[in-house]
Amino acid sequence: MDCRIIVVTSGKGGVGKTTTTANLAASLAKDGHKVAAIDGDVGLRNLDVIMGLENRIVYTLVDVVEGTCRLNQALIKDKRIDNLFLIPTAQSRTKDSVSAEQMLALCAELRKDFDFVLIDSPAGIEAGFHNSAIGADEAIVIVTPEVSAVRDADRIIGLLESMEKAPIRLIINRIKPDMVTRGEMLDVQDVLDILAVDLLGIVPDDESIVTSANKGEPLVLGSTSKAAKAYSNIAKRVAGEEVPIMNLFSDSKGFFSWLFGKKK
Amino acid sequence: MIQLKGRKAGLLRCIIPSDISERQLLDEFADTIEKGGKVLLGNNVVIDMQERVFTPSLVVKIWKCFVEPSGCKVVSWYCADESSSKCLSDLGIKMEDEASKVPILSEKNSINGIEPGIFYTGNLRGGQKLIHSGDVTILGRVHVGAEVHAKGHVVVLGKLSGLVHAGCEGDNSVSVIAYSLESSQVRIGTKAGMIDKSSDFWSRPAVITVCKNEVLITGWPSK
Ligand SMILES: Nc1ncnc2c1ncn2[C@@H]1O[C@H](COP(=O)(O)OP(=O)(O)O)[C@@H](O)[C@H]1O
Ligand SMILES: [Mg+2]
Repeated sequence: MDCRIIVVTSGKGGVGKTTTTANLAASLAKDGHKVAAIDGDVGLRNLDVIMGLENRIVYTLVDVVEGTCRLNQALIKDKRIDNLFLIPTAQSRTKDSVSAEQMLALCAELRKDFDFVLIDSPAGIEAGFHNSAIGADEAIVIVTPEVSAVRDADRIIGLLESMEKAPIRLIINRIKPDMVTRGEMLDVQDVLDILAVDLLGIVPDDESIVTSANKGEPLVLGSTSKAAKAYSNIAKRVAGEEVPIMNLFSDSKGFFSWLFGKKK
Repeated sequence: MIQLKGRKAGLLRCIIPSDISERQLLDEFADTIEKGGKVLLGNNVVIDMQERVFTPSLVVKIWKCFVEPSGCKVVSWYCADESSSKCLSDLGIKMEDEASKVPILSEKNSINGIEPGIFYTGNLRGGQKLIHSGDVTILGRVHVGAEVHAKGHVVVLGKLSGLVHAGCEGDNSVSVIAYSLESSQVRIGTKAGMIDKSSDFWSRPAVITVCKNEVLITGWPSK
């Protein structure tokens, strides 16, 4: 299989890029794909913590691109899930520490060895977004169902389109079904109407995400929560399987039934 | 649309708008060379990338599809995006400095300052701006936060939620046509029309013109 390099990004910060990168990488690896997750958000070391690998960091992304170490010295192998690797980022550096050329060279090298490379990037409005995204073929845009987040996502989709990332697909994160039912939150259809982009998946607002992040334990390692199921479905869709979008509504009146069988 | 603008000094400026995708560039360049053909051969050119962000493939495309086939001589590059500008200059490419920019005196292909209409395929998203000295047709949507400024008419064959200014240099005789009008404001010439969500025309096809000094919205003409 050819390697696919996917940047995970968003319009604004704090919407779940890092959470998504960690869980998607773990799910893909659990399904047997060889996956490298890169923390491309230089200066904000997050991904290693959520993946529970922070104690094993010796070298970082900046060391690799600057040639301080070899690539495989910076790749941390997850001991719980086969085929899962992380390149952590440097905490004491600024967002412009990795140049476009360096990122492209790194991606070219990773392409030889992996099935999937997921890049956790800074939000699109931040410095460093462009360079972290430059080596990716595809993009996943994370958005929360709030008007401001959706507006910012639209800008980023425009940028990603002009960078020729394809496909560009959307994950709507932190959906609160009861708020949607009460009409207090945008629903999936509203968001898709505004953004006119393909939906990759939806993730409910779920306590298990916070606890698993705090424990440094990806959800696929045993959680039975809805969020765990959501990420595992998304991973399967990324890998090309057709999995229906899950129904978050208890009354199962088929709010999402129109999405079933929809081509990507 | 890629434009060639000439200055009397014999220096051409090749303006590559940031709103066309890298994929569209191939066709655009072929078109530019066909139209500007003889002028380009051996002439000095400044490549103006506007707001566009640098990618290595872009530089290769510009060389392969424009510089090489046209036989022009690139004297410098210009890039409004700072980090892209730095990428290029780090590659040793000569950047045009702000101070040496001379106002453009004449425009190719234009008649009385009006250029041929353009047809844009795709959605204009928040933050994107399409500016054209002529008519504009968009086969796609204009999202909130996107802007279209045209000297002539504007036709949006999709949902219009962003800002359109037709006749943007003061021409009140032009019109805006939208397949689905969902924008709270449309500007024509020197006028601005406000549209309320409760309007009969909201979310419907609409034709917007200026009539007796007022912005007038009407529905799709009946058969
Ligand atoms: N679906 C969710 N349910 C509950 N909390 C979430 C969810 N997704 C993200 N969070 C929380 O939101 C915060 C920001 O998430 P993070 O992935 O770090 O965002 P980003 O990388 O986009 O800045 C974290 O505290 C995370 O635990
Ligand atoms: Mg993050």
